[in-house]
Amino acid sequence: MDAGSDAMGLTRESILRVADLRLGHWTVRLSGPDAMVRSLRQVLQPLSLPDDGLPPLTVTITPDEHFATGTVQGGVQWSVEVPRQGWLSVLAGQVVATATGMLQRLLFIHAGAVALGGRGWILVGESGAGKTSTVAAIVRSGGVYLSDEVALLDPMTRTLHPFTLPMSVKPWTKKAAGQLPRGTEVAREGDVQFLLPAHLAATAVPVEAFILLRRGPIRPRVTSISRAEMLLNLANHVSSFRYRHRCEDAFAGFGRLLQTAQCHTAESSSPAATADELRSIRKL
Amino acid sequence: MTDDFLAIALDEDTVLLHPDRTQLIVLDPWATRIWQQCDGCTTEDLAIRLQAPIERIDPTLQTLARTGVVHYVKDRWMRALMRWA
Repeated sequence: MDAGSDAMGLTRESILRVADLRLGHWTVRLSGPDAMVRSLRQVLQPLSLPDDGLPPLTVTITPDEHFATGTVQGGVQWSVEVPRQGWLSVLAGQVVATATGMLQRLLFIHAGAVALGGRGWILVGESGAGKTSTVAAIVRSGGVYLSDEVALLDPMTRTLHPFTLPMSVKPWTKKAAGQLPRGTEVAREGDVQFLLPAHLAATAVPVEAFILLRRGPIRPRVTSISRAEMLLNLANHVSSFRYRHRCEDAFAGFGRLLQTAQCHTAESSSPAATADELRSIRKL
Repeated sequence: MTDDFLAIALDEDTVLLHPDRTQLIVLDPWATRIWQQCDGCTTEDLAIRLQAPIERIDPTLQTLARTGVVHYVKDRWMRALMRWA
C-alpha cells in the first residue's frame, strides 16, 4: 500500500450523520459531520413544541464544517458561516429563530421563563441583564424550568409553554447565579455548558408575572410598573413584534396576557439576590 | 396604507398601535380621557365635559394631533379611526 491510497481512506470529514428529530409537534432534520450533528441533536432534543402548524426544518452542515443552511418547504431560510468557536450556540440559535419566526398562533419573546407555585414568570431583559443566571438561581431553589431563552405564550389561554432548551451556562453565568440547579450536562462546547435542569415543566402554566430585569445595585429593588409600560418594553425586545405580519397579533396577544399579569422591574447586580426577592414577592 | 389604529386598554392607560407605521403610542389616563371625548366636539366642549381649564386641555390635544390619534377639522376634534384589540 502506498501513501497515496492512505490519503484516500476515511477522514473525520467523511463521516456524516443524518438525524430526524421529533420535537413535540415539530420535525427538524439534521445532516452533516457526525460529531456536530450529535452535539446539535443533544441540545435540541429536550425541546417539545406544541402544535402550531410548523413545517419541518432541514439543517445541512457542509462536510468541511464551514457552512450551514436551513431549509423549509424547499426554500432556504438561512445560510450561515459556522464559527470554529461557539458554533453550537449559533446553530441552535438558528433553529430556535426558525421556529419562533414561523409561529402562527403562539407568541414568543426572548426571555427566561420559570414556574413558581405552578404559575409562570417571564423574565425579560437586555443581553447581560442576568436572565439565565436569575433563571438558574430560581430553579436551584425550587422553581421549575421552562426556558432561559424563549418564553412561548398562548394569549388565548393566557398560558406559558415550556421551551426546554438546555440552559446555556457561560463561565460568568455560574459565577453570577452561585450554585447551578441540579441537572444534566447534555453538551459542552468551549467554555459553554449546556445544562438541562432536573426540574422541567411538563405542561403549560398560567401566566402570573412579567419581570423586566435591569442591572442595578447589589441589593435588589423590585418595583411595580404599569401594564402599558410593560407592553412598550416587550415591544422593544426580540419577540413576535419583530415580524411585520404578526405585529397586530402580538399587540393584541401581549395586551391580553398583560391584562391579568403582574408587572415589575427588578434591578440588581446579583441574580441570586433578585431570585430571592422575586420569590418573596410571589409569597405575598 | 390605512389610518386605522388598534387600541387596547390597560388599566387606565390606552395603548394604540398603528400597524402600517409599526408605531406604538401610550396615552396616560389624562390623555385617554381627552382622546375618548374627541367625538366631534370643540375645545370648549371638552373643557366643560372634563371640568378642566382649556389651558390644561389644549397642550394635550395638540400632542394627540401630532401623533395622529385625533384630527382637528373645522374647529372640532375627532378621534382617528380605530379598532379595539
